[in-house]
Amino acid sequence: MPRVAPRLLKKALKAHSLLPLLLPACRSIEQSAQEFRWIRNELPNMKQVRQACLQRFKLVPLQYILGNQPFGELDIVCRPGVLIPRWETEEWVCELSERLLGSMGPLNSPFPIWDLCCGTGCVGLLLQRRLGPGCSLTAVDVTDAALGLCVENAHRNDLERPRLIATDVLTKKIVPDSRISLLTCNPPYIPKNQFAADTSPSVKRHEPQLALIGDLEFYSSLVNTWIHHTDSFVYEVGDRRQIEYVMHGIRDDPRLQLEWCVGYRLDSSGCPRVVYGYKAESSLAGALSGYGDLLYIPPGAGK
Amino acid sequence: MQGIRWLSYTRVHLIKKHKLPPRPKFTPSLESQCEEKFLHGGRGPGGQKINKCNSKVQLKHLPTGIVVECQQTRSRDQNRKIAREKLALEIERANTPGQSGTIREKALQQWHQQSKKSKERKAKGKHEQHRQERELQELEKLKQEQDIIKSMMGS
Repeated sequence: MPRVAPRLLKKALKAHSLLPLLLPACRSIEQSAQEFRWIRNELPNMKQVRQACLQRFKLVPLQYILGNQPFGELDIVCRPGVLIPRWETEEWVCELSERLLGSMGPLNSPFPIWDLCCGTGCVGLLLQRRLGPGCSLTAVDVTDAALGLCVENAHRNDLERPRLIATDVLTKKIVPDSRISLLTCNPPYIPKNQFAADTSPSVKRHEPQLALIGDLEFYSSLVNTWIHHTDSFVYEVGDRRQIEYVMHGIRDDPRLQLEWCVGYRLDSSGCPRVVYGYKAESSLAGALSGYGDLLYIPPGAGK
Repeated sequence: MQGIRWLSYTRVHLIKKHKLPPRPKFTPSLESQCEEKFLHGGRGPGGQKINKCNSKVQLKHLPTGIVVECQQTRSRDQNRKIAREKLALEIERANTPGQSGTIREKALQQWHQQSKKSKERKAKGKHEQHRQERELQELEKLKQEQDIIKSMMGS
């Protein structure tokens, strides 16, 4: 990370004595002023504001300092040890829920959603809020901190408490008691060799590596086991390679290739962000077919 | 909706702060004429690799080409709402002829003038009252002094 120019520090000091502390994290005066305003609005007294700025100087994420992050219309509690929801995730979840609502209307049949690697629970909880009480959420995560936070977030946003499963998706085999309608997951997807180079210092130092470093293992568990229990899936990805891995996994499987459509979706800054799939004859096909660009359509599925 | 005050035989309508003309509303039909963009500053790595807390919403009204931006809050949802309010206001401003602003802005201006005038009037009234009180006190003092002098003369 390049150093902050002394000229900029001086300029920030003129605006407010605490503003230079925010510069390493924000990089520009406007951004720092904006963050400073948020900190001042949310914290009751100047002593705490000062403390927050000092922490921010050490690149602690703002969400850990203030303790929350808006996600759609939800207010998600954030604590060290659990990944902070990203705007990219918010974007694809919002779009997904709008599409599902648009094609199905309010739910009347049961709609089981499973959220793997739930973290704060943001993905599942926002879907639950938007789709209404018809959907039942099951949240799966390895760490108890994440599951605890997920329950807290459900409570804070007046949502029904999700069913919790504390397990490692990769090593333990879970067999769901009923068929899953929608499987969502935001797995760790930064390859180890990119973690040192590309990841921002704030994320590297303060967010849990368990929720960040990973490559194809979650996608392979999707293709090998989870896909047999669900009608559709939406997985967040970091790069095109992971999308292709899932697509090839389905296209090259003699059974899956007959019924699954696979597509991907870009985020608003143009990076590949989501790989999704659905059974061509399932009721979700109408909602998901326009969600992104389709990569694979099974033979015989009329398009 | 409005009270009436008589000022040298001309009727003047009073404007109340809580009964101003409404803010322009963002209608669903406007929604279809708009293009929405989310700006998160710069390219480069995204997703889990970086944690940005700002989310700027840019809203463009295609028929008129008016563009508004909002990044006031940390919530994208909130920013979207604020941007829509801003855009509705801008469109209203563009639609009203002249420099004087929208109906609501005019009313607000009038309200300010009116409250200024009423404050002036109140201040004047107070001034008058105080003067009278002061005169009365002085008269009383004089009386008392005269009484004292009388009693001294008498003794």
